[in-house]
Amino acid sequence: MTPVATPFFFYLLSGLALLGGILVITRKNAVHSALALILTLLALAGLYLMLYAPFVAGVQIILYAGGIMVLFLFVIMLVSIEKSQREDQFNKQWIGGLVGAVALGALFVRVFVRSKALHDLTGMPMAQLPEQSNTQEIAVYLYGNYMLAFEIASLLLLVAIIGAVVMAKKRI
Amino acid sequence: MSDPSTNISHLELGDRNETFLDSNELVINMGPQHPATHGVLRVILKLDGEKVLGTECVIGYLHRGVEKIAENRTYAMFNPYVDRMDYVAAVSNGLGYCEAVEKLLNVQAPPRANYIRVILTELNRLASHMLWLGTHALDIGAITPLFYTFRDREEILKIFEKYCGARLTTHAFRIGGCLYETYDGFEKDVTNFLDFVTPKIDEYEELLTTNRIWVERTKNVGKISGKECIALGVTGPVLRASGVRWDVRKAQPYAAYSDFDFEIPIGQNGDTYDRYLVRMAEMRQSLHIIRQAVGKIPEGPIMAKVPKVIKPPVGEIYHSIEAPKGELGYFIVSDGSTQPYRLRVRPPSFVNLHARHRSRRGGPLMLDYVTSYLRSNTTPGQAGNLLWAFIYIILIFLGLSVAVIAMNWLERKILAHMQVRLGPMRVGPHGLLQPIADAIKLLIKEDIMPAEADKSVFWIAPVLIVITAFTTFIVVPFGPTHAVTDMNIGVLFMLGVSSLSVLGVVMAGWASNSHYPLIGALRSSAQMVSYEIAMGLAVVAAVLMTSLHGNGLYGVAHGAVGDGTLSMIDIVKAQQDQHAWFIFKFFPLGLIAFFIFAVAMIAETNRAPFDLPEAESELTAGFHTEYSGFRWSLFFLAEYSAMIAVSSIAVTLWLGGWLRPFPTWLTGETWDLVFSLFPAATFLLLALIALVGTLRMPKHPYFRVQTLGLAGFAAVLALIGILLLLPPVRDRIQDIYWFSLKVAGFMYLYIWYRGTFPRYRFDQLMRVGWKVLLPVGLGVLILTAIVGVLL
Amino acid sequence: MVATLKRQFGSGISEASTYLGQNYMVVDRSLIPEILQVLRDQEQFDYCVDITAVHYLTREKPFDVIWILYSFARNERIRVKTLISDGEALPSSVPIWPTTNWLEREVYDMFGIAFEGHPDLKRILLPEGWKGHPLRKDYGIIQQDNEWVQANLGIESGQ
Repeated sequence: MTPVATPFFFYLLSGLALLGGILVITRKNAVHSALALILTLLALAGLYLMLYAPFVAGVQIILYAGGIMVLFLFVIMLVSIEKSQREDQFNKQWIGGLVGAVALGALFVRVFVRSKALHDLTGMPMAQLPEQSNTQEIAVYLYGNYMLAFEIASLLLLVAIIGAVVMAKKRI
Repeated sequence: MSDPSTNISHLELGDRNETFLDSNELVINMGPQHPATHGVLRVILKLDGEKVLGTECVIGYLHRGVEKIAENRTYAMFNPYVDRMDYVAAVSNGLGYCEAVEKLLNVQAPPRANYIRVILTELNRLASHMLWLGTHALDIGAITPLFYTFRDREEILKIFEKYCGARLTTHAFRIGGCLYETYDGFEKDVTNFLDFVTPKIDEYEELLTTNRIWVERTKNVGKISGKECIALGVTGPVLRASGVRWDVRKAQPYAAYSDFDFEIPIGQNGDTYDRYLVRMAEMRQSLHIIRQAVGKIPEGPIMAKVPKVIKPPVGEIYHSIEAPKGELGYFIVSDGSTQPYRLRVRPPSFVNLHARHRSRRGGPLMLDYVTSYLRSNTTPGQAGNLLWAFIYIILIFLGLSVAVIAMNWLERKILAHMQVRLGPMRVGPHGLLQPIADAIKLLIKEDIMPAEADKSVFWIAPVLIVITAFTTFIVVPFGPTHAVTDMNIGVLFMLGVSSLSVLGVVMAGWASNSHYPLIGALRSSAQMVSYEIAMGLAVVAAVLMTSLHGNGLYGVAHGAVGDGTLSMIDIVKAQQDQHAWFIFKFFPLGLIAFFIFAVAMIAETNRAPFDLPEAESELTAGFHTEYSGFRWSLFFLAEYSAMIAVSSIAVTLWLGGWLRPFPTWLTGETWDLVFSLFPAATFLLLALIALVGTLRMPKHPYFRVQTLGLAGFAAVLALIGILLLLPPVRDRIQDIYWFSLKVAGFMYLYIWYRGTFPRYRFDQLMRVGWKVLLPVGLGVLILTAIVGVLL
Repeated sequence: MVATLKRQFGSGISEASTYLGQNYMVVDRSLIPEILQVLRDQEQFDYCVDITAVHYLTREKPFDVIWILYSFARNERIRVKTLISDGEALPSSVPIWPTTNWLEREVYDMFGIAFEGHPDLKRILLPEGWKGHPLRKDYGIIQQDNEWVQANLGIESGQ
């Protein structure tokens, strides 16, 4: 079950995800940022595949990259972006930001080190479930144990859709 | 938009700093250079999304100063000028002018001349209406009637040419009558033409009048009431379609019209559909008039006694006729000299255009890397067999390229034959090398990028689309083991990756930094996203059927806890196990689900009748307007690949993938043998067709190379056919053959739709996707589940 | 009909007769637009076929402005002509027949006759900045506004 060239693909995909993330926050043009975000999402989908979760990867591509990002792009393209392009890339509070980032990073490292001491992360076996049943397993849990949560979530989405239609319809 | 030739300050431009939640109006220029304005009109539109809020017409592009010229020419010298005013209906223009001058001279054209005038004018009316129909249909997206009407209009132009030497600007009449006597065989020609064209008009009606899309595009569009028409001075078929029964030929008869018995067709609603019906009826009435006239042309002179030098007495006259477009009037002021003092032409189209511009159409006017190595089941990809996987990838890549090239040729040829023309014939025998010529041309064409375009996004967009289009082919199963890999989320993967092409379209439209591509891109993405939903529901219905084990159309094993699957290969295997193609399962549910998918996939790939994003006659070229050369060809490469990909999904899910027809009804060795001969038979048939083509090539030295080429092609096809007769090859090729055959059927359907249907307007398109396909898809899904549980 | 109109407007109608079977009236400028309104409302001339003008260079009142009207109910045409001098403006008939919007613009464009009360009186066939009114008799047959041509088309002259 061990796939070939795992470290290579892992580093490749995570590198792409990180690159995308950095590009998102450093690009001046909002459309470029959105496209970099798409790159990150696709890289994440690849990582999901490596974790033997093809369903999650597929859904990530369909919904996130193919749906939500299209929505983002619509909004960005319709909103006038000239103003944002003239703004400064980094504002005057970068010192405070740096301090905050370092503090957060220190927190992550501490948590990681402590939890590593409690559980040996490297020895953990990968995905005990065979990949074939990723979809089935999700379905069993989603429509079985978590049925109520699923229904509530879909109801929420329905309300959101209706709200959006009502808001937009007034303008037609 | 600060050009000096027009002042648009009164069209307020929206504040550019508003967010899109406030109305952000777009001022767009439908300039004289636009496929639908036919070169003479400029319209400045203020749009809110797809709705037209206001228009301003700028005209004068074809103004040639004819009235001023008239003051400097003698009456006879001016006669040819009038043809050029409305060059589509030149005969009518000439008739109006000659009759006006004859009135001034107080001269009557002899009866024979009048009959000839009527016949030619009515023929011209037919020609003008045919041209109108062809171009009108073309602008709405029905590309086929254009060819039919132009082909039949040729016959009329031939008659004109025989009569007076000119096809279009005929200068057929003279002041006082006609110059030319009817030629020998004129009556026979006209009668033959009438017999020829009457069923043809029925043919046009058949294509359009009851066509649902045509009706939806034209009914209730551009409504104008009779009263408004009169107030706005509108005449002609537009007035009659609004219910006013008025025709100059009946109200103030001229030439010989009072001798004939004909009706004036009117409409009720005054919308575009009624204008279409009125013109079709007028064409039939013209035929009726010509038939009456041609039977009884009186004998006699064709020219009245008119002085050599035409000097009408001082006075004024106004004379009008019913031109195909409306009331065409001539107002002549004579000062007793040989040249008109003032000649005013009252143009019907000028006034009609003003009316159209005023009744602003409140409705919508105008109006898309990485194959990572994945593993799964029984395909090369699964066995960890990298080498075979790569070979399959290369094979698919090559096969796809060949398929796209073939599609290019096939589309042009099949569409051409549907449109009564031949298509490419020059480049290679029967145009077979045309796609290669196209490819070479596109490769070496200059690469243009607009100056203000966003360079990186502009560059990435076509690449992204092509990558997504090609990536979907990883999971397409040409046979039980003939796929690059079989992911167990195969269907999901295909849907997902093809949804990424929306991103490419949006990027392309936005990066072009121009209005038309942006509108095209937004339309396309909205369309693709909407129809993905319908597609998804249909797919889920099919996937549901995989989990309902049981044989036959309605067979469900009781209490079966199925193991439904998303894997493409397993879906086909499920159809094999259940002995029923899913299109027939739970009849008619499978059929409805298939139908939904079939319609949605056309919208997904932006093909006619859902090709508004690329609508040539409206958006020039939609999202790929600014792309030229190789980049443009990438878009179409991706489009054809996407077509093949979604067809593959349809074939896999509903049509049994690689299974041969009737696997359970016609079983046994002999039937297996018969069906296994099909691939060879197909190629041998193609070889035969190519051979017949070779034999029919003209026996001229110029054609030697082409004939040899075609013969060679026939030989290659025959060779492949014979190769496919060998048993080992035969068995291996079965699955691939049947799969490809079904996909090819879908390709043919794509081309057929393109040739037949007009295109849907964008709001209608969205309505079909959301209000029709979505509920029906949901219904089918629920019913399938219920039937599966109950049975 | 002429009798009723003569009764109403008296001396304003200077001539009303028929030539070659077509009726026409010559009215005084002061009668426009009342007489047009009366023609539409009472005499049912609901369709304004055309508005045009003729330029007589040497006459005292050089411009003839002619309305050609048609009545659907009576199936009759009538021409109403008035004489005006250079620079004189006429009241617009747009409130009476909406069709005259573009027709009056064309008369303005070609002859320079202004119509008061016209919602959007500007050139229609010629470009905005063009100088000169071509259908006047003192405008040459090959004359063009070279200034406009040079400024906008970048060529020396349109000839």
